[in-house]
Order: sequence, then structure tokens, then C-alpha cells
Amino acid sequence: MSVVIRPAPEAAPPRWRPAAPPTARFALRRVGQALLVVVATFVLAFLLLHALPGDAIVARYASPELGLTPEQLEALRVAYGADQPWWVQLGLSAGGFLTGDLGTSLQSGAEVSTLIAASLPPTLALAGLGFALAAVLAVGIAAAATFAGTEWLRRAFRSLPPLFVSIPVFWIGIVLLQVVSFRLGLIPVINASPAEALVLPVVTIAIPIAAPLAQVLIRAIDDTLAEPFVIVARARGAGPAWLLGREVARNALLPTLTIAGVLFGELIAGAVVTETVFARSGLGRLTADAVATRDIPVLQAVVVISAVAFVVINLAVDLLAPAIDPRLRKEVRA
Amino acid sequence: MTEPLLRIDGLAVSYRTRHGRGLHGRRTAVEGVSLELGRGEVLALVGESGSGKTTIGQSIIGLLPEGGRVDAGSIELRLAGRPVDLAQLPPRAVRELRGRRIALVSQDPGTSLNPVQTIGASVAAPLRIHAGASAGLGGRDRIRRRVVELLDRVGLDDPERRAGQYPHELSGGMRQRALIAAAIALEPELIIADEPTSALDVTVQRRILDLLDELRAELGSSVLLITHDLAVAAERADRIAVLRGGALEEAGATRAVLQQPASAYTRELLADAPALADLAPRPARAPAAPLVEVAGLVHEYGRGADAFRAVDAVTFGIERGTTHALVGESGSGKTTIGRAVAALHAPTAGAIRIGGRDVVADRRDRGIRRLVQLVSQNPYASLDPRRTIAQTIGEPLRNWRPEEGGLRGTGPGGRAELARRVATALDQVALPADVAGRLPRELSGGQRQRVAIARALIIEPEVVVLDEAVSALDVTVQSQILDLLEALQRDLGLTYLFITHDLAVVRRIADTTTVLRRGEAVETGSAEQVLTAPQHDYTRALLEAVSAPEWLRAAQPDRATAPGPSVRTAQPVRTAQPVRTAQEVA
Repeated sequence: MSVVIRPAPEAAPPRWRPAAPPTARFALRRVGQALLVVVATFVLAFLLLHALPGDAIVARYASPELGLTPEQLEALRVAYGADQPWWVQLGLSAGGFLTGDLGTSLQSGAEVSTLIAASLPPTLALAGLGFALAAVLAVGIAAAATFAGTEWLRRAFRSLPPLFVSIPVFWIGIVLLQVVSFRLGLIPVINASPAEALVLPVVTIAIPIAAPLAQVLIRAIDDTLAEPFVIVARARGAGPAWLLGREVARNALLPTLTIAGVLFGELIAGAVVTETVFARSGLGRLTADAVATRDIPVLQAVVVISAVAFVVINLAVDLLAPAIDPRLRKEVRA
Repeated sequence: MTEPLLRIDGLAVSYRTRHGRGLHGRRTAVEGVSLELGRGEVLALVGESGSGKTTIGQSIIGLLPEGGRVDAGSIELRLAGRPVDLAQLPPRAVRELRGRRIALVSQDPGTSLNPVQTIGASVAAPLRIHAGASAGLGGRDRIRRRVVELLDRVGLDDPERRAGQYPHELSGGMRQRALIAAAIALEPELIIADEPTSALDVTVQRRILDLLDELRAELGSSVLLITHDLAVAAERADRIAVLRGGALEEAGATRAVLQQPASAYTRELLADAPALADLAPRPARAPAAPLVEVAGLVHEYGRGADAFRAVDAVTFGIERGTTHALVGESGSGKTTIGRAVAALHAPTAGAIRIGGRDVVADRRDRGIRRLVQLVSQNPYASLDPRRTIAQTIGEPLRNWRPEEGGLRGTGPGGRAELARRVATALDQVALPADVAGRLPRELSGGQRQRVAIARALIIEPEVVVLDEAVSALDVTVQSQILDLLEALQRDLGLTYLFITHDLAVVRRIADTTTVLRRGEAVETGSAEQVLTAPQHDYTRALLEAVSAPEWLRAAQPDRATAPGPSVRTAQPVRTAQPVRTAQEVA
């Protein structure tokens, strides 16, 4: 009872030929679009910040306590270039950004680039670890919500994300601080080691990111499990591990990845609140202070850096998507 | 006779139904079914949707949908002497058998392959899953070589390249071949083929069934062939079992059952099967000036070098009060033409006129909608699930002012008139008046299609484009809808553009026809001429594909005397039965 099957033509193990890689045209177009977004953000941020009534110099130095004469104010404006028409200022500012000169802070007089360089690393650590923790939480919740032993348990895990979404970030931070540090004394508030000081802020920033991520992931897993090819895989004798690892994971990854890119914006907003609540230095704190003092050069730099980071992350997601789903590799035909 | 491979005895299966929160009932899907399948034999399970044929297949392979459960009976599989009862076996043990001793070839090759896996990986899956159980199959290179052999065996050209391709790069027929390769990879004793060709083009269907036959003979496997198509069952099965509403109507040797059906239901199925109908096509009539004129129609999707020409210089005309059928397989451009005639999109080039009116130029003019209406294929998707049937049917009237033939802005008096017109429309399509207040989900597929027809007719168009309007329906229902369409054409003088892949339906309803292949019209003329004296090889291939064995045609009862319901004598509304959702019966 054996099949008469023609032997494969050559003796060497056959190689399955891989499909064509994503086209360079696709990648180039996406990079072009990304650059356009950054430029547009820069111009828009500049116009909005300069559309505020009066200019930054007047706002900063015209208060009576400083007692500056109109002549002195005018000299300051000339020194900062604020007397120029807006398009000249835009050009100067753009030229500065391209050459790495982000201007000087009106508040402290320090180079903006120095301020940014100092506050970027702690925020990167916070955001990176927060996002990693969010991803782990999301995958854990989604896996439990799909595969937990009893229906009751699965339902419980399914109700976690909506709960997490509805909790404000600052409230999580305050409660964590109260409970973990003040009540339980697990993490010292003063003289904490850098690692210890990161724990609560990372948890705070991760929870609101993990929630929507888990929601999308659960939905994507549900949708994939309902696909006929999953039934076919089960008909081949596949068990739960095979189904999850080989059939479902990659299919469920794509929508989750897309949402992850968008959620990156949440991280930036989350950093502002978290760093303020936990009194950490960082980009979020720098932003909050700059807003309070109308420190326009700093704000301009922060907006542009956020835009670049956001665009780069989403560009990476876009370029990664065809690697996950081969259907996206072909140029779409109407 | 030796012991059968499979013996089903008194099988009963039920599904959990939800009546709101926490309150569960159970609905019986299969009741008291007993069947036998011998070694190397093909047993066909035939029946309409909801007959339980798929449920039986799922029970055997242990893959009932969530909420499904075997309530009683046994499913004995006799592998090497000692029988095992699949209904009693622990899940892990059944899993061991799946893919190795029992394989499944499923209905829709479009969705049955993982879109992010290569064809090779999908075919290798059973080999890898059972690598431990089937000694000697392990090893990456051995598996790869075996996959290429299998792909070659099922007739895929350049199997090495196919192994590295993804499902979306293959046609439906090629995908089904790959799925068959995966199913036979471990030489299973039992192959469950659940509507293996229903989603494929007619010319491909036959080749896939031939392949299954060949492999069955080589492997000595038994095949449980689940199908709604009597012609397929008649041609391929040794024995046949007719199911209805979850119970066995009759079973026996194929010829015996179909030539001398014991049950009235089997006779009804035979009478309604369009593929068997030996009806003469509608006779050709004396030519008159056409109402619908399509000339040199070209439609391209995309632009520049990527442009894809879906329709290429198609020309035909339809006389008033007649039916023109556009026939072709998937990708032939028939739907694109239909949508252009229904003024839903503009062609790249060419002219469409209805009663002298330029449809292409006037497609944005609302008035054109009163001239031509569209009825689409899927009656599940084309009705708003939240609107009552009366709201759906009455909507066109609410969109038009009285001087345009509608009732917009006519106040309370208009409301009474609206209800009256909706009642008339329901009566026209032979639906009972109490359907008006219901929602689409409370209706069967055939009833929904009647609603879609009523909605199209309420503003009294002259031309109706019917895009595969009966393709999603069971044969008995299909036959009723075709009767209805013919009656409406007689009474109202309607002109139909009937889009279909099924030549048997063309024979039944069309006066003239155009056969399309990859956007080109290969043949056009009276239905009689095209069907009885086809000029083109492609038309002949299509005809060949739907031909049923001669003995079966002879066995078909005359439609006029058959006990089956017809449009006026019996209402298709069997409201006493709970309406099953597609998901439950699928």
C-alpha cells in the first residue's frame, strides 16, 4: 500500500526557492513619506509656536521686576533674531537644525542640544523598558485570555485590558508610590539606586500601553483561530503549541505591530506625566518645564525629536510588515 | 465482504444554542445516523445546507465547532483488526490519528492555507507534526524532498518553486492540489473530502476530483465525499447516503438510490438539480432592437505598466423582456461588466446604452437607478442586519420624490401607501406578509434573496442585473428563485442581465448568452445555439464540466410532475423550522 511517487529529479536535497524580497521602490517611497512628515511637523510646530501673541523675548523679559528698558529689550530681540520676519526665522531655525545647532534655551541660556543630550538617555531607558514590559504584559494577558484552563479565568483576563485603559497614568503613578514606597517601603524614595528608581516609573508607563496592545492581540488571536486554515492544521493533528506557535503567532503579530507603532505616541505623552510624578529628569520633564516657561527653542526641539522618533518607529513597522505577511510584498493592484 | 473501515451507529450530535446570557439550550444537528464505509470505497454524503453532512464529517475527525457534542452513538474506525470508537477516544488519542490515519480535504482552498506560510511549510506540517509517530520521516532534508515529491504527485508544475511560494501566488485549483498533497502525505486510510470542489471553477473541479480518485486508488484509502452536488456524487461514489435535517433519508449503492429513489426527498433533489436538467434551452426568437446595448466595453484596473485588463472589447445586446447570460469562470470579467451596466462604475472605454440612454455619461444621475437595478450574490451580506425587511424593501421609495415614482416627503398618507407597496412587493416575490416586521437573520438564504429581489423591483426598473444571484443557494431553493425570476419577467416584462458561472442555470433561464474568458467574449449568440452547437473549445470545456452521466439524466423525474415545490403552489417559507445561521450549519 505504498504510493508510486516519482523520485525527486536530483539527489541533492531540494531547496525551496524563496519568494522575491520587498521591492526597493516600496521602501524608498515610505522613506520619502517619512521625511515629508518630519519636515511638515517642523514647519507646523514653528508656525504654531510663533503664532502665540507677542514673541518669546517679550514674554520672558518684559516683566516689570526685571526692569529692562525698551531699548534693552530690543537689543535682546536682535540678539535672538526675534526682530526678523517669520520666514527668515524659519529659515535660520531650519538651517540650525540641519547643522545640529538647536538654539539656546530662553530659560537657562544653555544650548538646547546640551539639554536634550542630558535628558534623552533617562527617557530612552524609561520608554524602552516601559515598552518592553508592556509587550511582555500584553502577550501574557493575551495568552492567558486565550488558553487559560477555565472559561472563568479566560474571561477574567479578557476584562483586564479595558480596566487598564480606563486608569489615568498619573493615578497609577501616585498609587504605586503610595503603596510600594510609603506603605510597604519596598523601594526607597530617597537615595534609590538608578535601577530601583526605574521600577515604579516603568510599571506606570507600561500599563496604559499594555492594555490596548493586549486588546488588539486578543482580538487578532481570536480572529486567526476562527480561520479555516486553523481547522485544517488541527485536522493534520496539530496540538495547541503548534497552533499557537506556527499558525497563529505570525498572523496575529501584524495588527499588533501596527498598533504598537501608533502607541509609541502614548509613550511620549506618558513620559511627561510619569517623570513629573516621580520627579525624574528626562525629556518629559524638560517638556513640562519648557511649556511652563514658554521656552520656545526647547519646545521646538522636543516636538521635532518626538516627530522623528515617531516617524522612524512607524517607518520600521511599515518596512517590517512585508517581512511578516508575504501578501504585502507585491505592489497592490487596484 | 470484509469488515468496513468505518462504521457509524446511531450517531447523534447537538450544538449549544444561546438564548441570551447564561441560558443554554441544545439543538440537534444529527440524529440516529448509521453508516458504513468499506475499505477503498467512496461514500457520498449528499444533502442541502443544514442536513448535517458536514457535522458528520466533523464528528469523525473530532473537530466539531465549539458547542458541538456527540450525544449518542459510536464511530468505529477499524485500522488493524481492532476497532476504536472515535466518539469515546480521549482527545489526545484522536489527535494522534488526525493527519496520519484520517485526513481532511476542506471546502475553500482560498482560506484553508495559512497565508503567511509557504506552500512547502503547509504540506510539510503533517510530516513534522507526526515526525515522532511515523519513524523514518524525520529529518529536514527528507521532509523537504518528500514535500517536493508530493507536490509533483498532485500535478503541480515546478514543485520546488511552488514549495517556496505563498498561497496568494497560486490559483484556487493549485491551492487545492497543495492541500490534497498535505492530506495524503502520511497515506491516511480515511480521507474526508468536504465539498472539495465547491469553491473552484467548473473546469478545474473535474480535474481535482480525478486527482482524488487516482490517489484513492493508489493508496487504497476510503473517501467520505461530502457534497451538495448530485452529479458529482453520482459520478464518483460507490455508495450514497441522502441526509435531510440531520437524519438519514436513504442510503445504498449510488445507482440504485438515484435510479429508484425510495424517498420523496431524493426525487425532489433530483428534480431540482440544474446540472441534470435536460431542458431544451429557450428557443431563439426573431431579432428586435435591443434595449440594452454594450459596445466595445474595456475595463482596466490599475494604471500604466501595472494595468490589468479585466474586460477586453466586449459587445452584446439584450432585447426587451429577455434574459442575457454572462457566463465565465472567476477572473473572466463578468462581474465587472455587470457593475458597469448597473451604472456603478465607469468603464475605461466603450459604450453602454439602455433604451438609448448613455449609461456611462449618466451614471451619476440618480434617474439611472430607476432604469437598472442590481441584485448581488450574497443575500447574507447585501441586507442591513439591523433593518426590518419592510424598511429594507421600502428604502428606495423613501429615497425618491412622488414625481420620481417614490414616496419621499409625502407625510402620513405616504406611510400607509409605503406599507401597501411593501406588502405588494412581498407578495410579488411570494413571501408572506408577516415577513415585513422581521430582521434578515430570521430568514433563510432563499427568503433573503427574495427580499433583495423585491428591493430591486420596488421602483420598477426595466433592467435587472443579477450577479450570481442564485449561486449561494441550495439546489431546491435555487430552482424556486429561478422560477420566481421567470414569473416576474413574464408578468412585468423585465429584462435581465444574468451573471453566472453555471451553464446549467444558463440553459434554464437565458435567451441569449455571452461566454467570457479572461475578459474576452469567446462566443455570443442565442442560448440554444451556444449550448447545443458550441463553436469555441472553451465553451465545450465548460459544457463538458457540467455534464452529468447519461444514466443519471435519464433518472431525473420530469420537473412538471416532480413533487418539488414551485413558485406559486408551495411557499418556500418553512417558518416552523428554526432558521439556522450559516455558522451553525457550515
